[in-house]
Amino acid sequence: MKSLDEIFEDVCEVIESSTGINKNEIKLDSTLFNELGVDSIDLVDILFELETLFDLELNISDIELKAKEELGDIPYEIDGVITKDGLKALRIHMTEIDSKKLEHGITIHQLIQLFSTHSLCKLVHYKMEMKENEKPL
Amino acid sequence: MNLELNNNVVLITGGTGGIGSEIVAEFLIEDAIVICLIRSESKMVQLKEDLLKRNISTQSLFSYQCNLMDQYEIKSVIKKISNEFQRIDTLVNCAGYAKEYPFALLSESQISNMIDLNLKSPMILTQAVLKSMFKQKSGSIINISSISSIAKGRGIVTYASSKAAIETFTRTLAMEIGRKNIRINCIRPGVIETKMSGNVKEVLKNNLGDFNSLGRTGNPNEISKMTTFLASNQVSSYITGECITIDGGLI
Repeated sequence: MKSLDEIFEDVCEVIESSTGINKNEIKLDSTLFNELGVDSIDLVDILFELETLFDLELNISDIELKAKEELGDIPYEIDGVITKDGLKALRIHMTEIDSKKLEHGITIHQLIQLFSTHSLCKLVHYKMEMKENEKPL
Repeated sequence: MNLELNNNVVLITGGTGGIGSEIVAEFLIEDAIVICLIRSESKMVQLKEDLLKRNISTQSLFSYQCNLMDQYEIKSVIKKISNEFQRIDTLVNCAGYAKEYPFALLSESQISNMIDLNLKSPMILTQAVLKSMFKQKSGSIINISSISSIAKGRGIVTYASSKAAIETFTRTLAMEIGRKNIRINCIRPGVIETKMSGNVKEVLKNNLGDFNSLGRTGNPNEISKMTTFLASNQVSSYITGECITIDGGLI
């Protein structure tokens, strides 16, 4: 399985091909929307490209998948606002996001604005792990 | 005019209907690969027989059963088709349902069914094919609307509303997907000679000469030729978000 560094290289290439942003300008902690200027259609495009490249199924909502999975039946969000438990799980699993920004009252839409290249890499890495674990021994 | 549609993968709903079957024929004549999403096999058998009678080869004509009222089935069938054919160049949303009935008497389920088939299913289908089109960085989506979207008429409130909505869907989605070189357009047919327009023709039979500028109803191939035109990147690459009226000068 590819390392996070190798995935980062691939993610940068995909962002470059989808948006025209020079891959050398993309940093691991660059936020997709605010710093790189990616919009929601670009993000859809990037996810589709990553799906093909890694042969995975990826959704925008999967970026917080690990945090959601840890919560089990405890609600992650109510009416689009992330719950206290949701924020706690995000702080554990999405360490790439400045924890000060994960404050009470933050909505899912606002969270998406905080996603970085690192978040994408972690998503791909996690989904690859899941796929590996599904393989028959 | 060479439309360069050979080997383009074209997906169509309502391909066994009056206008749809002519669209299928037109794409086959252009050597495209045509995939019909169908409800029953019997109509497909009939379509193939009709095409063969016209010496149109059905070698590149395929069909998949799909209940267009079921979004999960739509997504799974499109996934199967994308895997099998590796690409989807064109989607033609032609399936539709119209029934003349006073609005005040319609049940909730009759309203839902018509909105689901005429509006929701084309939206879900579009969403499903966008994945392939994003990856290809090209694609053309063509929605078949109806003149009823802008005309007045009794007994067609829900149908006309759904068609007006599909035109707005076309216009607004064009802005979202245009940068990825995916085009979406609408065709707005007037009264076309099909079984579905039977009632309208019956009402108009004595006044056909005056009801539009050309004084006649349209033929399905006058719609199908516009469909292949809009599918072709060779001739319509700068047309998107547009709704083209083909009604012989009715409006």
